[in-house]
Amino acid sequence: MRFIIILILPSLILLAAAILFDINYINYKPPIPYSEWPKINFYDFRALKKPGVTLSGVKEFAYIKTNRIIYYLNNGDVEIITYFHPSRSYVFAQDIRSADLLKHELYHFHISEYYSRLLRKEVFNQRNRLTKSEMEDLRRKYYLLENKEQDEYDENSYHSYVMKEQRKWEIKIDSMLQSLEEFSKPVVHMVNRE
Amino acid sequence: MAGGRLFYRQAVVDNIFYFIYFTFMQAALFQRDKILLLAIWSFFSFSAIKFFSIFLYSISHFFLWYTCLYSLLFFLYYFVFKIRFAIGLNYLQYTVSNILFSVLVILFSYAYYKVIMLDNDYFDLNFFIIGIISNLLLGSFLFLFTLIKKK
Repeated sequence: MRFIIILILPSLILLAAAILFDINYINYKPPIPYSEWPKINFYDFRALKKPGVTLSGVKEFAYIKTNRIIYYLNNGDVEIITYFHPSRSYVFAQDIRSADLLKHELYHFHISEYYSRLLRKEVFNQRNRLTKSEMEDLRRKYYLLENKEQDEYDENSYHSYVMKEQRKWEIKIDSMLQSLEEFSKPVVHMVNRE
Repeated sequence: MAGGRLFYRQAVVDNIFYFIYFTFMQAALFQRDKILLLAIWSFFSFSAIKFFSIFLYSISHFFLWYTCLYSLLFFLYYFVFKIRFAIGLNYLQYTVSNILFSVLVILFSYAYYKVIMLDNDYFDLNFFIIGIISNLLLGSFLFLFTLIKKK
């Protein structure tokens, strides 16, 4: 029994230390839904950086972690919310006053929301013939499309360093969001209640 | 043609008996305390690698370092087993334990992914399958050291 405790204790300590670099539970802040995006600032970027990680040799960088959750409501409707995860998002210095860098990171969040809107639209269009597993397939499909777009955004704007490209992307993402304005509300009504 | 089919069927039956024979031969491995030790050692190795991967993350040849560390940790299990039960593992037992160890590590990694990571994070099963194969090869190579010592 003592042998087992000797092995389990350090295992738990090592695991707790490893988890800290995936989600900063010491300085934790719960996920922020997209509706509250204007309130986000660099003090919300609380993750810890893994030692030695750089952005092509540059130590001064930031990254944002977003995802979307599908809630199946009791009345049969579906709620799709895009979240920003403060404890999984990192900035090299929280007191930095770089509006451009924050804007760049927030546009990643906008891209996530755009794909959530696309998902809502598709769910709404297929509302009478969509099973839960098909919904999960759609979720995966839109993650793949989103990842591609997020990479392209970073590549073109070189993580906000190429201002001209950054501005182009901002206009593009704004118009993409605008085009799906009718799906900006998280709830998708699956049943016609008229 | 019929003879060939009969021979083939006989070979399949022989292989099944061979497998059962070896499974029972390894019965010593499947006792509660030994399985428990293997499970805990796998958990310890998983935690240790998870911790070291924080530092390995940014270096090149990440996979190589990752596999080497796993093989080394499993090789240490040979000695842990010896200290705990006062008997050494033969090559077959060592390999069976290595496969179980790899499977347990994959299960722990998947559980970690499900509990800690988000749904849009990456879990590459191929990475782990290649890891098992590399671990078996490297593990076998390391086992040679125990034979050298015996000689």
